[in-house]
Amino acid sequence: MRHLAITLAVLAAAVPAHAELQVEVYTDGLAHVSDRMEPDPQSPLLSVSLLGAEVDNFVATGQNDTLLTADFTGDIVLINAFGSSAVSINYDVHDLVSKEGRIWTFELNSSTSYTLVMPPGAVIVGMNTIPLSLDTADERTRLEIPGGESTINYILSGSRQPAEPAGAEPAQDIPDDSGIMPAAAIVGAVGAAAIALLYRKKVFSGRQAAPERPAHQTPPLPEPDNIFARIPDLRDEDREIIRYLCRNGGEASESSIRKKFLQPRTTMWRTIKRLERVGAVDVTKRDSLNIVRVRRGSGEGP
Amino acid sequence: MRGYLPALLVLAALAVVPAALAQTDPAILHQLALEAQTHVELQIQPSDPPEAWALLANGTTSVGMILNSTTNDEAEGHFLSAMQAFTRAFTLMDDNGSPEVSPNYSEMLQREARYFEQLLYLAGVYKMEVDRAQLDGLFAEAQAMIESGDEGVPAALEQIKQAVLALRQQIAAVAAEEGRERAIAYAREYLAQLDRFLEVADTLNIPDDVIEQIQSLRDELAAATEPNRIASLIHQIIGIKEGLELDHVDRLRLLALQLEDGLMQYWKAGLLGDAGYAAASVSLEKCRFFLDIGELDEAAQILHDLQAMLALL
Repeated sequence: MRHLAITLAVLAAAVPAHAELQVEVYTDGLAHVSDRMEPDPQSPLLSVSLLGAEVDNFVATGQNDTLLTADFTGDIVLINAFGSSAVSINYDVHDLVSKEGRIWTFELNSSTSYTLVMPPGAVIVGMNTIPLSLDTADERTRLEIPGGESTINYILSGSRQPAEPAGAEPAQDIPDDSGIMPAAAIVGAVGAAAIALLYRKKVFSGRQAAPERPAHQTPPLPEPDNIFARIPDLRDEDREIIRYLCRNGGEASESSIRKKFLQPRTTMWRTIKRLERVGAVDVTKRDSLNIVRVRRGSGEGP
Repeated sequence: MRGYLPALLVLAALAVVPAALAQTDPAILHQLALEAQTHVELQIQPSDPPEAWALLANGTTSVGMILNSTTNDEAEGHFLSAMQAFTRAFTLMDDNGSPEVSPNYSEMLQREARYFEQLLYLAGVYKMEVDRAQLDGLFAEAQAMIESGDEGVPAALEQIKQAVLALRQQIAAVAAEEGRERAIAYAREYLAQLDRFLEVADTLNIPDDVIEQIQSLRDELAAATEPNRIASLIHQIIGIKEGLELDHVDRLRLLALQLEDGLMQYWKAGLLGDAGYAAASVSLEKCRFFLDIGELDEAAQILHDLQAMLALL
């Protein structure tokens, strides 16, 4: 009987005009929704379609910031607005983001345009809609998305790392699990941006051609002395690290090397970068670890 | 490695993109697509299937065409093609390095903290005294446990959830009383409006049984004190009124009644001055005169003007 009453009320309740809708996505796929509406003051009930059926921490407030009571039926909420000229609702929703492999997918069919705040470090790799605007602040991308169906695919930087990480020197202590975006952020100073702009023309023209697929090869692990002969200017501490890696099957995590040689994180990072620069080692990402590998069988100088 | 430096510098440039209208500026679309392209290039590996490399190549071509487009529609088409190619490329790329999603306790705590702050604000609105020291302590303890990797984090988060829920219930209890008063006040105003309607109902050719039904609901509404019941009754009445097959004149008469009530509310609230209220009342009288003599267009125009005036207040 109560359900019937609610259903009747849903049919009669006023559907509000959305004044401001914002969806803020967390890195674990949940999203916080803030929705400010201007309901018909003549109607005591406000019917709102939530952006999902599974919601937490729901709060509805009216004008003067009073708490409004609400009834839920599925993803519809009926709010006792009683003449409030403005109603705000806030809640966390589980249904907007899914994940397959490394790709996260945000999907929403909204009757109105809205602001979408991407998680920190999110990189958009696909979208089926044209954003109205784009802004970036504090490593978070903010998009104005028009109403209608929108699907946005993104990855979180660090979900899979490049075979050859960046070579910029750290301005400060860099954690072992630093990903692409933190590195980009470090070099993202105004000067770097300017340099990037100078690079852009070259980069763009270079990218017109299809990229070539590199060939697979697994050459043998070299002896330390061969590496020292090939790169004679290595420091003593560099040689110790090379010997340690060769004893360890040619690879070790950066953190284990740091523990082995009792070096501060930044110092070790610089040492590894130096070894990488001179062609003695390669650094790759495995899960959240930087893996340092002796460069195999090139026999060439840097 | 040298090949990645420009790519990372491009990413750095993208990180400081100012707000801009994408629909009028293909450069923004180009930047978004270029960022996606750069990340595919950084993450694709030799072991990935040829299809992924082909999609990267196709997407790269589309990105290059965005800035060469002569119209926004063309740029948008290239943008969507590029993004579709990059998404499919990522889907095809080997996923060995992608860790499974594990509970993010920091974000769970962050969400609870956000909810807690919102409730604290509401408690302030209702002038409730809340001892936040206990909850602050729980939050600090949970934060420390998360940082140290303590296995007791889920239990600590559950404890916080329960404490926050208890605060929510306290606020809801206080708010319920205020909400009841607001609902009753709203019902009173609605009843006044409804009584005006019932006074003229017999002149609007409304069947007697419908008037009786509305009258019955009206009496029930007058006695109701529970907000949900009040809302439900008002909506039943609205539903009946909307179902009435009134002719054009009747609808204009009803609109005049509603506007009269609206004007009075605005005048009482101080949003409409004495002179404005008097002028609007004269206009309404004129409207009723036109309705009586069948000059419906003139009457409708007056009502339209009054509606526009109210919308501006």
